[in-house]
Amino acid sequence: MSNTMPVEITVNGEARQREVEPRMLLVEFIREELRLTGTHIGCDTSFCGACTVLMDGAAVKSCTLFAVQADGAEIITVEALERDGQLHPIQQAFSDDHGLQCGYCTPGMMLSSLALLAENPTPSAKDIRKALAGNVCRCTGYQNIIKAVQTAAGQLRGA
Amino acid sequence: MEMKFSGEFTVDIPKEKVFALLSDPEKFAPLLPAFHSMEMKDAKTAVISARVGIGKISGTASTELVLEKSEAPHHARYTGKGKVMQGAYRMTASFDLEDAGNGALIKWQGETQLVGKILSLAGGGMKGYAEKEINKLISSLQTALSPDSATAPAAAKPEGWFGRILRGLGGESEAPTIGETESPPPSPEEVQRARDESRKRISSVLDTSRRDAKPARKEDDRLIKGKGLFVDDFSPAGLLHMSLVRSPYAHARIVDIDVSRAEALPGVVCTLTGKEVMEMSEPFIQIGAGSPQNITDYALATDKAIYQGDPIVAVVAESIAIAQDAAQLVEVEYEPLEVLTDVEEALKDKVIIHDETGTNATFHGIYEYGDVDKAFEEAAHTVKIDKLFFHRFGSTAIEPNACVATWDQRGEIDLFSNTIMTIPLVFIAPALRINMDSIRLRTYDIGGSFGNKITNYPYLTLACLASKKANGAPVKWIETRAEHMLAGGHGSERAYLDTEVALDGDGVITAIRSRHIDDIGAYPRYEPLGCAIWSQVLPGAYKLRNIKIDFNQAVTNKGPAAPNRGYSRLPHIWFMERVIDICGHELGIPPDEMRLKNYIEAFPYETPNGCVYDSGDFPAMLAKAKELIGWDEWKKKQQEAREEGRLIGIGIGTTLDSGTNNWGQARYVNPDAPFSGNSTAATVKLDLDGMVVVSLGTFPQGQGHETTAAQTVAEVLGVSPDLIRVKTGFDSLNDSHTAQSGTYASQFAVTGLSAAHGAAVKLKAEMTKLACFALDAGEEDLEFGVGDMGPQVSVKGADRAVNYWMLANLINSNSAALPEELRDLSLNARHVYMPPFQIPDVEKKIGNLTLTYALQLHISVVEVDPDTFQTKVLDYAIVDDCGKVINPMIVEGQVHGATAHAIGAALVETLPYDADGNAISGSFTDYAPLTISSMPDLKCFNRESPSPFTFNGAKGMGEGGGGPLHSLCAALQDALHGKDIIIETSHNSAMSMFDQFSNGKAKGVNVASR
Amino acid sequence: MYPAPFRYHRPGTLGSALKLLAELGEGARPLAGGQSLIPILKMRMDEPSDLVDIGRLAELMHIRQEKNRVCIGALATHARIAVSAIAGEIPIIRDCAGGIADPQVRALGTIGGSVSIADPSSDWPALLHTLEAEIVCQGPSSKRAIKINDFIKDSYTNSLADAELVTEIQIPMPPENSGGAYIGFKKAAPAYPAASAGVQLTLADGNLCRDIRLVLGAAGPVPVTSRQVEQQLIGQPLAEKNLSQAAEALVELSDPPSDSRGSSEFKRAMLRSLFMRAANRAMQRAGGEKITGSHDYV
Repeated sequence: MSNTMPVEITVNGEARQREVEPRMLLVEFIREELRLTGTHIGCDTSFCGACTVLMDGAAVKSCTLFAVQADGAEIITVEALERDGQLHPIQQAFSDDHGLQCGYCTPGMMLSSLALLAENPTPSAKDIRKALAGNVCRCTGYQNIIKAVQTAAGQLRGA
Repeated sequence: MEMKFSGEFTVDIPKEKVFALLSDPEKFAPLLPAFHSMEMKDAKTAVISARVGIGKISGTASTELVLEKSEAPHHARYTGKGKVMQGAYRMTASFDLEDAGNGALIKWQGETQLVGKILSLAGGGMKGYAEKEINKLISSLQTALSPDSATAPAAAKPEGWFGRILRGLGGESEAPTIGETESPPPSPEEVQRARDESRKRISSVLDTSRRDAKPARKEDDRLIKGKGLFVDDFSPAGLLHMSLVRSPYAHARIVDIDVSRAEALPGVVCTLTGKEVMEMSEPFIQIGAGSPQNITDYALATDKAIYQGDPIVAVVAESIAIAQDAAQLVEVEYEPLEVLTDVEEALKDKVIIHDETGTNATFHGIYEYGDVDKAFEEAAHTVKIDKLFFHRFGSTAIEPNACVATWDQRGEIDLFSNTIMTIPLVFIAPALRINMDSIRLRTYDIGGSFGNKITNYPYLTLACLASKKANGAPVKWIETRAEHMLAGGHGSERAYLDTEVALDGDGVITAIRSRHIDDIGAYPRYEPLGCAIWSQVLPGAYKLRNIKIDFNQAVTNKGPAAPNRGYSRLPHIWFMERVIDICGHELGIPPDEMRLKNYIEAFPYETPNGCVYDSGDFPAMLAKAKELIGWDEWKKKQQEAREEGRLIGIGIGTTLDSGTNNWGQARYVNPDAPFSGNSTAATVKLDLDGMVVVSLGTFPQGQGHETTAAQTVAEVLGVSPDLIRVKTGFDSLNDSHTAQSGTYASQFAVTGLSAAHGAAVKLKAEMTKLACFALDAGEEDLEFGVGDMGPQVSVKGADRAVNYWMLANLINSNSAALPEELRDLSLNARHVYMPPFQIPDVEKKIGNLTLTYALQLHISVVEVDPDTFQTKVLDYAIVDDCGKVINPMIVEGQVHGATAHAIGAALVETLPYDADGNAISGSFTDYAPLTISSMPDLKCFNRESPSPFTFNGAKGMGEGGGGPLHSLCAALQDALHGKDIIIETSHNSAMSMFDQFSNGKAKGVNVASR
Repeated sequence: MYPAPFRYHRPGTLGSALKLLAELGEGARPLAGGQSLIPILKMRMDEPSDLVDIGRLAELMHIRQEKNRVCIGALATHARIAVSAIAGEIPIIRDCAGGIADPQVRALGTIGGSVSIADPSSDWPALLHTLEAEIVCQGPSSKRAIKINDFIKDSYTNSLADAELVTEIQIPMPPENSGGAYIGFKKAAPAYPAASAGVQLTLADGNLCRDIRLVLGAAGPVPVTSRQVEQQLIGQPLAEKNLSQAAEALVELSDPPSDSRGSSEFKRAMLRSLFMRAANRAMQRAGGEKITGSHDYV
């Protein structure tokens, strides 16, 4: 059953058209079709959130979504955060506050954080814990991630 | 899981007729509840395809049903076996028929053994499900045997019950039809508008202003941009993908493998079986002495599968999806064998896992120091602890094991992987029958390891073999999380039996004797090194001199163990911490006083087995930690809470992170092991363009080696770290490694930085010589620094300088001007750091086994909810001392991370097995690695006691010694004060606390005082 | 991990989706948010021939109040329900919708999908019992409403007929002086609850119980409820002793399996405690207190 279907998905502002197998996951579309490898895969039961991207403004796990379901959608991946060589405040904060070590979970963490900050510019530590409950980090113990999200919130408010 | 069922019923037709139906597979099979289709292989054998649904599972099960016994007209017996949705089962069903009036009495019994992932998904719901299915079978038998049924009934309608709901088929429920709802549904425009608003909110956050700023670590720049290069990001042209077929059985003989259907699938390039692997490669080197030397461990299972998840067949295809499709088509026939999941049982050798060895034991040794018997004779108190247990868990790095292997037509291998030390080359090259230099081993970004990835070498080897069979095409293997949970490297378990502790009248421990057993799962892949490594921290933080540990290790039918953060030392320190805590608790000595009475007092301190604890101050750490947590206030609150019936506990954990191994300790487990000391290399070169380039022999996974190595080299040269380039990852082409290079055993700050420092000093010496020539000045007149032309060497007080490019140029492209005596310079300095170790005394097991000891003291406050058994961490304080701190931010990050791992292990994470060897935590969803929701806030403080043994005063750190496992267990012990409960296992989830509260078993601790 | 191949369809209307499901027959599955189905497909625990993506049918996305009832379209996501005005008015709905899994899953997962899957440990099927919800099921030529306790028939088994879909959940508005609470206990947000309990009650004068609905989730193949136990509480003061007896009686009816989330005995103990907590929180809310809180971890 090697049927394929056309899809058009806007990724980081650019409309991308491909013929894909219906079973292709969105994460595979992003990583393999578009070669945007900043979105990672860490588990297979929708637990770890390493594959988190923004779809039409909401954080979603791109491993639990077929590319065909995202046909017509707007996707934001980690690659969209930096502009003209300058880091987004969330990137700067994760680095400054040492909110990352190995960096594998970081893109997903930052995108979940941005989804939170878009809704809530002044999140408490509790709000951050709730928003990042579906993103696993095995390196940092989360302390500095909470700090980084708060730092970024401050910078975004000041911007 | 084994299920037995039996029952009886009567029918109104004579038993001969009944027998005719029951003894004909062709008629009997369609009565099975989930029957879909069948094919008769011969008169007695039906190959049945069934649609079954169990828990979240609905899919095709294939069964071979054989009429094994047929004694007309009273007895028939079937056996069946097959696979069902990532699992396998075997069943028997028999019928005995008796006359009953005009009809027949049918007595039936059935037995099913079920293994595999299916159980982890369906959980304990399986038995209920099976009962329902059997009831369905019986009722369809009754229908078939009713007198009205002239002929055998038509096949039951296929009805996977989960499948049914998913496809929207279903029941018979009647309900009145209702009218249309009154208000109109939202229009597509409204939905679109909501989406646009959501997009707009994100855009406003994305479109914020940005500043020009640099990331804090060198590594961060690529990682925060999503431009790292993890193994799965590496996809060379012509890439093929490997997927593995793994055993659902924990212990089974492999009777037959059929790969024909898999190989016929378009897009499949080849398959590999154990038989081929045996022809193409050698078994891996074994570290242990004696019987373990006979263990044959190949990249694939050969004659037996010995744990659930043991890889049996590799499938290589053009895409991973096709490889996984093909893996489903491989047929493996197993003959299940008795399963060993209990290490004490394994040591009895009634069942042997590695047939070629004759025993399951992989190590036995006695570690005895001082005069233990005398100390017990003189003891004022003797405390006996029947059993303590350190549970199985893993660090489950967020990036799974992975590699891309290319064994090209020239016979050279490019192995891009996420292994974490050079040692795998020592395993892989001989297995592949090639020189080590024929393998280019490299890593780039690694998504965490925590020791676990040391043992991924069988898979790396397998990928090389797959590439060879695929004519040199690159082959990528990415472990799935489900595979990782079964086979990706678990931390080992340890049982501590019959522990006895001697104490004097003041509560000072004078002696300990105990018997310890490590359960390492199916294969010793880095073991039995763990049987020596724990003794780096033999007395823990305490001053007792008399210790006897009878240490044992054995294999079981569980996932192979791998080193796991705090490897082997952590389980031992946990033991020592439970001992001190239980003794204090039993003798009524307050926990802080108990520690103070027993702490080692002066450093450097030589332990009874010859290890030297380099520096530190436990009492000062305790005082600081008490201050951080607010000890006195918590004591007061605890008292008030107790009066209200609330269970609040305060616990202390004192721990050590020993770093920089003396590999001579390997001789404790194998006297012939050609290892001792430690060596790590680094090169620092002045490149053609004058750039300082550092190559490390380490395999960083988030520890910031690029950042700290640049700091170290920059300090030697008197420039900013920004001007130093440190190569990312490891590459054996850089020649910056020795056999002991790697990122393990908390050693980078010592070994890696010493090597980098040594190489930088060598380079600086060469640059000095060249600069003396170029500037016509004496060494004492030169100054390293940065000037108008960038990094340079200048003459003090004069306006003369050469920059790095000019110096590099003298060697690399303008050498004719150089005098003879400068022509042996290379500006490419390699330094091998070798710590000052001696070979330990193998007979007495005495020697200095590690160079540095970072110390940690944790205090936690917990509350146990007596109704829900949940433990909430109310407060947490950490005092860490890792000597001179190179980079405070990185050190603190490591402290946080190590703390989180041990909190996870103590309260949430466990990898249990059932008696059949089924892994219960088969997915992240079951295992639930610690999330942000359960991580408490930490209060951290850093003390600095510089190590006298390292050039920079630093100590290795990062493993953290598992502080929370100790402090939380102690806090729980304190919380349960007066309940006659001993915290005897390292894992204390709500469920284990429930068991503690309700099992009512004997306490397992006795105190004898005189 | 990759699912087995399938054909994908995305009909533009509910009518065409129902027609398509009828035509495709037993190999086809409806795909809504996919948050339960896709992990199952990835593990190849199910291999449908066709997926009919109903996820974009705007006609099933509504959340609205009508006279005395609340109507929630099958495709309303947990996230939208959690922040809806209705969740503000009926706190037990917010407890559930805001506590299911994590933000990413809540953004895509739908109430209709959750109810249809009828996972014994999932939150909606249990919660909806406390609100006496009716499940509107629509087929190619029929439409009917089924009470939630008739809809959930067994674990993973519902009452949908051939090519029928859940289109709407209807909930009667609780009267004045009502309050409810739902608490699930799990190891982490993205894990399934090991046990859960819900209580929705209405107080009469003098803090007597005017009406009450109780449920235990992850407690057996279907949510555990008992009209009889509820009846015994009506007209009574909701004192510790009465509630505790109710808890015992309900737990007696439960049959939680032993699995990776805990042993059967442990789950029973949890059910009992969660029930008491939920009941107390429900009473406080019925008394007008504003309390937030839903699932609990570790």
